[in-house]
Amino acid sequence: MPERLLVTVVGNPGHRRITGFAAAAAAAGLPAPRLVAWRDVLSGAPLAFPPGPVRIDSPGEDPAVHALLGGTHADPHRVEGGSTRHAAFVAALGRIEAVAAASPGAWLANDPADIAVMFDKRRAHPLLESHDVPVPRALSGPAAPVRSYAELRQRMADARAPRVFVKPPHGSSASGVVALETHGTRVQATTSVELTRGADGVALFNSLRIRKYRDETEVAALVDALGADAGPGGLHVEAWLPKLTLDGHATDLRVLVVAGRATHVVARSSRSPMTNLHLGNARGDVPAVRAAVGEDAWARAMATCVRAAGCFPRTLHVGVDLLFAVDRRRHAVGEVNAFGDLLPGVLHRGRDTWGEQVHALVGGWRPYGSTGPAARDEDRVPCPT
Amino acid sequence: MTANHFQAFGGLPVEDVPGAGEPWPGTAELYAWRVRVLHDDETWSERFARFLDEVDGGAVRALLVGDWNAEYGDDSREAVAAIAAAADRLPNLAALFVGDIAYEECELSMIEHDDLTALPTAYPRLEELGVRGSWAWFAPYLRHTGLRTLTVEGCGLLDEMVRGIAAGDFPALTRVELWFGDHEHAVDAVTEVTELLRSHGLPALTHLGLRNCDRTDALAAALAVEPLTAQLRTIDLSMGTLSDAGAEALLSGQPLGHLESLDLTHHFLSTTMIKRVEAALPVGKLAKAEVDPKFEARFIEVRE
Repeated sequence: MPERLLVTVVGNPGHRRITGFAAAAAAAGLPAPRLVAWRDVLSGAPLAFPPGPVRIDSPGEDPAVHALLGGTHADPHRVEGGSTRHAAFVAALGRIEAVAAASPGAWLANDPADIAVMFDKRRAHPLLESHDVPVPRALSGPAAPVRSYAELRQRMADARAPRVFVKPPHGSSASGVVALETHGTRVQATTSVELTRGADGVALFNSLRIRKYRDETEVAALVDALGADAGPGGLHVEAWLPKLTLDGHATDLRVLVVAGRATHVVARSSRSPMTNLHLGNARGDVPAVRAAVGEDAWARAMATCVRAAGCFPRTLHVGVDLLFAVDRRRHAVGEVNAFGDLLPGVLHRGRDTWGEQVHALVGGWRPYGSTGPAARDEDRVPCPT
Repeated sequence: MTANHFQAFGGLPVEDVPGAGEPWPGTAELYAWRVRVLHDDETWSERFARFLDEVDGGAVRALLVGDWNAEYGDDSREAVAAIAAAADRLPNLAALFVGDIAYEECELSMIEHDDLTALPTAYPRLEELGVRGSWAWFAPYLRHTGLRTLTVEGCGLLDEMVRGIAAGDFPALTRVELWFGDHEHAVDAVTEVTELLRSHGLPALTHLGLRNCDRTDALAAALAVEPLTAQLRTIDLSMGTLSDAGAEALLSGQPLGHLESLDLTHHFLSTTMIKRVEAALPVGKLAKAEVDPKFEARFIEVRE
């Protein structure tokens, strides 16, 4: 273990993720992390990593990087193009892996294969399920792809699921997610997607405003456009698990798991089915959630988050979206996020999410299967606080 | 906003009837019991039957019908029939709510009911009855001497419901609260409010809530002229779409000096009208008008 660990970060220069991690490294007395820009990874610039951990951070929120990933739908407000961007992203992850392999002493703190799975809901869902992680019931799958509104309604009828979440396979931050409720001949879609019709046909835009579509023609156009963009594998569709509702707000948790421990927890509460904080939703009250479900259910849920993270054993941290059911007894994992550590101001034992990662790296964390010192065990507890 | 689960009901804290084999949180008299299922092995009716078998029914004072997996499109008929049939086992039931269901379980307008007449008929000692959802109604000429509070949180309130109350005989009923919603049927329900405000069967009524309505101005216009207004002490027009026209009707109609409070929360009044209303009516301090981010038409507060 070198005295002063030099961490390389692949990210977008100037982003608060980068400055946040750099501050945590400085606070721990580490040298300033070496930054490798995503745009250099994507543009094919010559790369090499110094010895030490290479931490892969999000390529998001950078218009130039989005354009390099983007292919035909480079407009960052467009929903479509997810499959194209995902393919470019996976190729870039492959490049990082190859550069790391060719850089003596460099090793990856986030596994490219793990990240690729986390960004493919069609693969992540069965992986979690196979590790006994409770997940909402999936209606789609290789044998029953959902590529259109007609296929969606057929699957909903077959599965007797009148309320579902429809998710683009590679979306993040609720982009393209549609909460669909059906009742007899009625249909209601709740989504942040804005559907527009122009000379070129239907176009979908991300917006910060939750919309409702009640006209079935519109809902069908929306789902058809999402389905066409998802490619032959289709959309990921899950039965709607009624979420814990506190004071009229649907509430779920983002649980950061670092080096196999649930560390930072944020509650997210919303009056709409989407709890994502960028959609105008508020951080909820974690102690209130904990009190509502009780210590036993809380501990089981935290154990579930750790088990979900264990599906990605070569990755230092993941952000688990944990849903408690409305009956307060059951829970399920909605998503596992590769870059789910942007939780500014949330502390665990005085450390923010980046400080926690630095702590684990300095403490000797290594990806599963690698040789090296084991992680220190000073604070192995199943649940935070 | 969306509909809330009850934390307390009938003066008691709410507890769920536990699943089969799970421990009971306490004895029957301590809680308002909610029977609900969520993709459970037990159906709603099975859980309710076990509730009757496992608790001292004589000690049950408050009961809530929670989610019966309403999302699948079944209305509350089965639950209503089961409760009506159990009247001899729940002799002291004073408070009953049908549809304690939050948006995450089922959208308000998709929670369906049918004729609820069997409930007040089977429970003559009932003091509080509430229902959340759509398509609920009472047969006309219903008489109930015990009922003190009646609440219908609808979205698409049926005109039959308003007519049923207007044509009934409820000598003890002091509080009525109706949510109208923004669906087509509520339009008819709004016009029926005139009948309600001319009813001879509500001699004890002192509180009337006409809430969450997409035509609050029409309700205000009716309140401004119809006779029942004179006996009310509190009126609640909150969560709706009151505009200057409705407020003007209240200001220029029959005297309202007898009112203790008039709740206009969630309104669309101009600043000038806010000042006039605050000066003339017991509305307290009004917040600014609601603003829709897209400058749409006025909107009701609970629209799921």
